[in-house]
Amino acid sequence: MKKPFHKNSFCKAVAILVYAVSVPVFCAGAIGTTGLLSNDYYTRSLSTIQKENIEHRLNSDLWNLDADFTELKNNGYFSETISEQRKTALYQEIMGRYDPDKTNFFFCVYDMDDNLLLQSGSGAYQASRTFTNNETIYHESEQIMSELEYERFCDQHQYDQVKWSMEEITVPRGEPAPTLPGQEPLPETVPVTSPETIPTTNPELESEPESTELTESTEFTEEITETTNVPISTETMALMESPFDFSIHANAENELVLAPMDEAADPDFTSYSMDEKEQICRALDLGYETSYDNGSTLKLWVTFINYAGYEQRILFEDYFRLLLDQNPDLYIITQDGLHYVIDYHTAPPAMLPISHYIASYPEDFSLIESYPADIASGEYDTYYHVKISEPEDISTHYIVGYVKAELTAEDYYRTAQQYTALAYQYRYLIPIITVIAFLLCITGFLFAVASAGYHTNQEEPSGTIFEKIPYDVFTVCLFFAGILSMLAVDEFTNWEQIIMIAICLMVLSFIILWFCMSTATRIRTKTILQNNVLYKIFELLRNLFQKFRNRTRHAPKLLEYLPFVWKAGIVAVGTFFLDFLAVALIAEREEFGWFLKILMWMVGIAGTILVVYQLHLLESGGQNLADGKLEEKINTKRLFGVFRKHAENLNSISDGMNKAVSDRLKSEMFKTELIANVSHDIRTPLTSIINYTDLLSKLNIQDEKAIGYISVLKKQSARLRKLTEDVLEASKATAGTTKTEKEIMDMKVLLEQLIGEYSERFEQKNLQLVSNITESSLTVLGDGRLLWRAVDNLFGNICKYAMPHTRVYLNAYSENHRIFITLRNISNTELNISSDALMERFIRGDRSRNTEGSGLGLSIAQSFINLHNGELNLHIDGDLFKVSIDLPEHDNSEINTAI
Amino acid sequence: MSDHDNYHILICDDEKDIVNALKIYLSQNPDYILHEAFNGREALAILKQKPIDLVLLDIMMPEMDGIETILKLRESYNIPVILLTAKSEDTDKIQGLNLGADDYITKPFNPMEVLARVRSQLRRYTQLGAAVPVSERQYRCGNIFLDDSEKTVTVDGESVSLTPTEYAILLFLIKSPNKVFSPQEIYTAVRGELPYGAEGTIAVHIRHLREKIEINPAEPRFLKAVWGQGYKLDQFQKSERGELS
Repeated sequence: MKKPFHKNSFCKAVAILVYAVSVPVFCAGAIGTTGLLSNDYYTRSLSTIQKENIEHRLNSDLWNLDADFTELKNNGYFSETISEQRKTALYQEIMGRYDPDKTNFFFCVYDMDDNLLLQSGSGAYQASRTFTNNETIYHESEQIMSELEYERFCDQHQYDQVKWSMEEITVPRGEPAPTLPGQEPLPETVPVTSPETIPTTNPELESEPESTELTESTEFTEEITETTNVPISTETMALMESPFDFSIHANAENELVLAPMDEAADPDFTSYSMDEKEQICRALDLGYETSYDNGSTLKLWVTFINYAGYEQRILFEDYFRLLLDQNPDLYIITQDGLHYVIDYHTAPPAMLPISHYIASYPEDFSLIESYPADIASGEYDTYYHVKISEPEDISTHYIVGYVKAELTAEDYYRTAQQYTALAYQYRYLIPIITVIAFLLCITGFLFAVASAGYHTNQEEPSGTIFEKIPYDVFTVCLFFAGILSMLAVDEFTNWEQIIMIAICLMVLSFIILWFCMSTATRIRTKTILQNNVLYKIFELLRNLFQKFRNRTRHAPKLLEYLPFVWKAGIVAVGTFFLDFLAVALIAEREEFGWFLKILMWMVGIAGTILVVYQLHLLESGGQNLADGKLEEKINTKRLFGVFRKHAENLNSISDGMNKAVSDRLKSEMFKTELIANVSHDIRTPLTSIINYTDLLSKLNIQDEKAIGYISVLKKQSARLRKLTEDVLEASKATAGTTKTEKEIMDMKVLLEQLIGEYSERFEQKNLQLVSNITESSLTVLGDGRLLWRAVDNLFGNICKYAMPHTRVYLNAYSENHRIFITLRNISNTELNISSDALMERFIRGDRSRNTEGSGLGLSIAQSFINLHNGELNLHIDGDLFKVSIDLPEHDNSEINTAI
Repeated sequence: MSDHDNYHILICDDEKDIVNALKIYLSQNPDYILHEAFNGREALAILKQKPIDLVLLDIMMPEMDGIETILKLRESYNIPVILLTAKSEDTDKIQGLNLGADDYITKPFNPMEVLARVRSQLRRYTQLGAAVPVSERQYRCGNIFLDDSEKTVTVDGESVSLTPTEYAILLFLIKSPNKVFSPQEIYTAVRGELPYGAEGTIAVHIRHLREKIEINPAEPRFLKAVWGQGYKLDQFQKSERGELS
């Protein structure tokens, strides 16, 4: 199985490597090519380019010088700034002396006392500009060097010295103005001009022989020129006239000891033996060596690291002379990490711990307040000189320009020239390399991205462990890594920096590639969206939101679950707090408080009315239910919450009852209908039976038995007829299907009518009716026919079951708007039956069932009385049978309204 | 109309036994010529062929029931129709009477009552017709005729002997037919004095009177008790006839 290249891990690795290598090459090439093109390397000669380069830099340095002069002027050193004319002259001077292959230079500015005011220029000292004013030394760099050191430095590095005096600002002490040194273009003239100028400005230059002496002493430098004589001689003169004598030597404890000196000063340490000198060097922790000079004399050479960071080798005597020269007042030396001060002011000078001087001369040390602590603590292992003395009247300042004939110093002028030459040399190669590198890096990049996620052993793309990192986190991390790598890029002036930049670029380009590859992998594995912290947060929020929405969908239910008492409690507590707030508001802002309170009252009143109204609706609904008005439902539209629920409950109860009642009614109706149909169907055959029995009885039959049978037939058929009627009636009465047509009627009249009807039958039975109807009228609202049937049944029963020759008592009276009718009689047969059972249908007083009647009389009577909201009760007391009817009396005053 | 002595009576019932029984009872009277039919359609067919004077009609019959039959019959005949039915409900009775029946007998019936009603209807239909009182002192209610000038009462043309109290009650009631009078009012009107608890006697008089003028006193047609209120003389049948004729 052949695998595509992009799925091969090895190919991928190669592509990444190609990319990683080609990117910095491309970047460097691109920058180089841009520089080449913009600086017109292809049409001009190298020397032109280099000259332009130097000119450009020189301009920039002069600009710095100008700024520094301005600063000095502001500090009171100059009355004028350096003039444009002067600057132009300076510039021309330098450019005139400038050799693109060799020249390097810098400036120093001195006052008339040869104090260094300012240094500026190219090379390593470009950055160390220093100037002083009356009180303070300003220093912008820790690289500080005295003018002497500069001179030494210049000596060492073979700088030509050009010295200009600044005639504009020269305020000589009554001396004539100096000539313009810039007008002499040749370096050879400088030593000539310098002695001319300096005597005019500095009277101490009289000591010319001293200077020559000194030049002799500095003859150790092989290529020394006279040019260095002038400043050194100046310093030497100053040194010679130092008012103090001292001797310094190391004692037995290897401590440096300052000893008093006689008038015979020993500036050259001639009185010191070689051993002593060595001792001092050890005490001061100086490197030293002894060797013979040209004159075959043994000399002690001190080796120290000067402030430019260069190792310097100098004669022991010169070294100390320099030290003393620089520190006319105080001299701090270090021994074994301790700091001592050589005090010139004391006679003899004393060597004391610096803390002593800090205590003695706080004013002096306040000027260098940033140092004493360090010095006192012993952490400062190098010395520093402080000029405390008031400057003399400033008259003339001069600028010393050091111009190097051979370009050997590693300053940026030289570096730039080297690079320029290099770039010029490869000016055709660089673009080609750039293009190739570009193609390579693009190819590598594309291939790497295309193969991202694929592995040799796997068919499907899969991520590495880095793809498990959420995409956005990954992106942010890489972004910051890129930023960090770019922060490392500063300037590229030396090779270390350039290598650093190259590494940074590689890192950056690799980060970009990594990011693209990871993105590609994520797209392939379809995890770019899901594997994101933001996405996950979004998902989480969405889930939460959905849950919340689900909850809120069920929220009403939840609210319903909350007990009603709780809800009421919440409302009450809320009201309390609102009221509290309102009271608080009244105290604070009256009108708002009252507004809130009135609003609360209004809401409260409305709410109370609403609740009461709801309760009223419920109450009337419940009343309807109790009254059996099952059809009248509570309107739940106007109810809410728990009231609505209650109303719905009531409605469902009413529905249930309604259904039960209608079911019952239906079944009763059905039963009645069935009975009616059956009784109708019975009637037709019964008619024939009755008729034919009658016909039979009319035949001339002699047989006594036959006559007897016929009479039985007649009697039983008549009974059957009555039974069918009663059954129908009873079923209708109990089913409630009997229609009542109620009107105002008088029970007394009804009873009298019935008594009239029954008078004959009672007589036949020898029953004496004792009627006691006390009221003049017993008005009821009822259906006369039904009530007649009820009472008629009772009267009929009496006729049937009362014992002959007894009295029947009828009482009727009204009491408490009820009409009571009682019928009492003595039963003919024994009543061994309960009154309840008597009321049951088809039950009669005697169990034999051989008497006339259907046994439904009482039941029908009770049904009809019930239809009139009345009651029919039986009471059996031995043979005494008592029926009592209880009917609601119709109030006469209500007649009008009732009808 | 048939000749004076013979009456053509049509008995219509789906139950043959009942038809036969009725024929037996009615044939006791030689004046009656009986015809039989077993449903409404047959009855209508016979009516077209024979000069029928009275119809005894069952309601529940196959093919064409009594109600439909009476509607058809009334379109062309004015003869008395007595409904014989097993339906005993008041509503059924009222419906039958409203549709044009002259009388209503519920099954199971008393044969004697049927005979009496047939006789009554025939007499009224053939002899008295729609006779109206001629003088102010003559009153009529159904088949009851009271002549106050002669102090006589006839029911279906046959004179009835009443006691003076019974006569006074009937006279009082017949003057205002269909109006309900309480026993007290009747007593006051009859005796000319307030009853003082003696109005209970009126009920007994009414019962006696009913026994004399009603065919079936248990189911009075005219002198009806309005229970709990009083009594009235019901002129329902007359008004019914008046509407139909």
